[in-house]
Amino acid sequence: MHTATLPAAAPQQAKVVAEARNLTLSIPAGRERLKVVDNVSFTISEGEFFALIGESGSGKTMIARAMMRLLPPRRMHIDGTLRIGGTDIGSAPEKAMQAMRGRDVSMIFQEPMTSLNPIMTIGQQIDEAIRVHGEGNAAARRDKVQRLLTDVLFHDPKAVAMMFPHELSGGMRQRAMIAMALANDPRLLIADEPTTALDVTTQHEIMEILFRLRERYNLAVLFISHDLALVYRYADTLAVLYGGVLMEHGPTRAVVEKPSHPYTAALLACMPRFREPGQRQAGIDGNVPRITNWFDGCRFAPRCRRAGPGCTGTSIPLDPVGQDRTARCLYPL
Amino acid sequence: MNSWSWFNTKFLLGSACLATIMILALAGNLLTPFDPGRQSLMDSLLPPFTEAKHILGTDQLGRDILARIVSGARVSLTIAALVVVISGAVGIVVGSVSGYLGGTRDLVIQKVVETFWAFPPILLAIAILALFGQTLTNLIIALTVQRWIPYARLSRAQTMNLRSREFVSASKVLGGGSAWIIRKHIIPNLMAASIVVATFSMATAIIAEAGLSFLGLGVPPGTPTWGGMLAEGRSYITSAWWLAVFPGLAIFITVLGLNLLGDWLRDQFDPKDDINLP
Repeated sequence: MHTATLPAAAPQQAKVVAEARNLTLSIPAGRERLKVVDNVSFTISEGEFFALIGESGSGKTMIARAMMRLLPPRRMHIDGTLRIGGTDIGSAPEKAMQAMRGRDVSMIFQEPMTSLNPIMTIGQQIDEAIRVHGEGNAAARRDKVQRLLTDVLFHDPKAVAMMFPHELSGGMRQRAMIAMALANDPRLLIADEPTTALDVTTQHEIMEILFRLRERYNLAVLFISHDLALVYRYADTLAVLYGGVLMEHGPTRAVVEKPSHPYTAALLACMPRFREPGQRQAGIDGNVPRITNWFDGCRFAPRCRRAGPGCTGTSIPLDPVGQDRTARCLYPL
Repeated sequence: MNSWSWFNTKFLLGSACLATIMILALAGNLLTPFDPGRQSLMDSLLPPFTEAKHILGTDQLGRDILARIVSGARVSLTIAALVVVISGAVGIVVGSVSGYLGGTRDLVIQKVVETFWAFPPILLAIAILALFGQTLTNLIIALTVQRWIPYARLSRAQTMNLRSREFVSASKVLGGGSAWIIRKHIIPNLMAASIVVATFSMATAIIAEAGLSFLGLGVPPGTPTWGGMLAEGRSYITSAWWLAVFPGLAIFITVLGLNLLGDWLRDQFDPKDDINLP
């Protein structure tokens, strides 16, 4: 098991690899446009482990897709600023996006079972991933495949390279996916719930690998999850998303030790390890608001015990609540 | 049922049929010393199995039937194989591009496909050969012009399924463009089903080629073909049955073999079969 110390926040001066400023994402639905992400801002620096936490429907996957621009602009509209490296995702031509994907930013997915092509060996697929951005030298590519597989802790990379996806377990496939994603030395890796489909021990193995890779290559990781209990030991920075809005944002240690937003506090209370003996496991009453009836005020207010006058009225500003910390709450803890 | 059983009636019978025809086409010269075009009116209409030299007898011009079947096998199999390869390549590319791009482009391509599909196949083939002349190239075009459509439809349907698979998204996030993804991930995954279509398509291509030759629209006259031999033997069917029966048998064996093999392949690739595994 990993030593359960909380990592310190990434140094302030580090180079920014990704930046979202007042990012609003909307998808067309009939004649209207539905906002799925509303006015979100954050920055991710080189070598930072950035966790984006949210329940289903909070818009976290939409942010990942927008960063990769996996949906064409007519299917998902990007307002505000979203930059990766020097590229403005909202306006970059598709060619520039293609050149950027895999090199500046790469991504792994939730389902390792279907993320690999069933008819190609692991080695072939990693090799393909390298070749997307230029053929290079065959021997160099072979060495790189071996190195990548070693990086994700395969003990016998030669044998693994010759295996087909169905011969690997879920955790091994996800490791192979990570190796593929790193084939062109990206500066940022987006991990969209990469451990959700895996069992608990394998989950920690994947986290350990991501954590090591970040150390070794100064790789920035945007880790998207609904599982605060899993990420809080690894992440430098936490951003909590609810109903498409950033609720709280700050260094993990500070946020976990003393949450400012009632929603973050409620999420932390839901973690089994914080349960008082003899008490019932805590939960949050109510449900995530449906996207069609989002309103301007705090979308957590209907479920919030601290909600008071003003919470459901106008939009709540994201206010500083400590060093490098912000929370969107009128009555912070 | 064991899914990859080689001792399967369909597989054994199908490959036996095809092996017979292939051996005939490749090594037929060892069985008969005669040139398929050599006439000898002295030896006309010799019945089969009577003379050691002409195992399958001779036709009205004294030409050796076996030599003509061997030569016809080469012509038929070559044409059918070319037609299958060309139509397969066209169909898979059109289908995968159409299915992958989707939207308006898919709609336009599908309308073109439907337009081609609307013509009765033999009529279209006859029209092409009548308009542009009876050459080998035109025959192959005439046989290909509709034959790529089943591949295109199947490939399109499968591509629309593959497109939403995560390994396609994975290739995209690694920097793959549409052309790259279609070439590296979509088309290889379409091959299994397309091979099944190809086997059946080859059988119908042989029948269609024989049919056109029978109508006198096939390969340039003078070249021995199975269909042409059938047409010539038709007038002698009451007096000299062997003229039409042997080429007919050659067509029958080839088509039966291809269909059996195609059936077997389809059973192998059918994912539903896995459910029945012990």
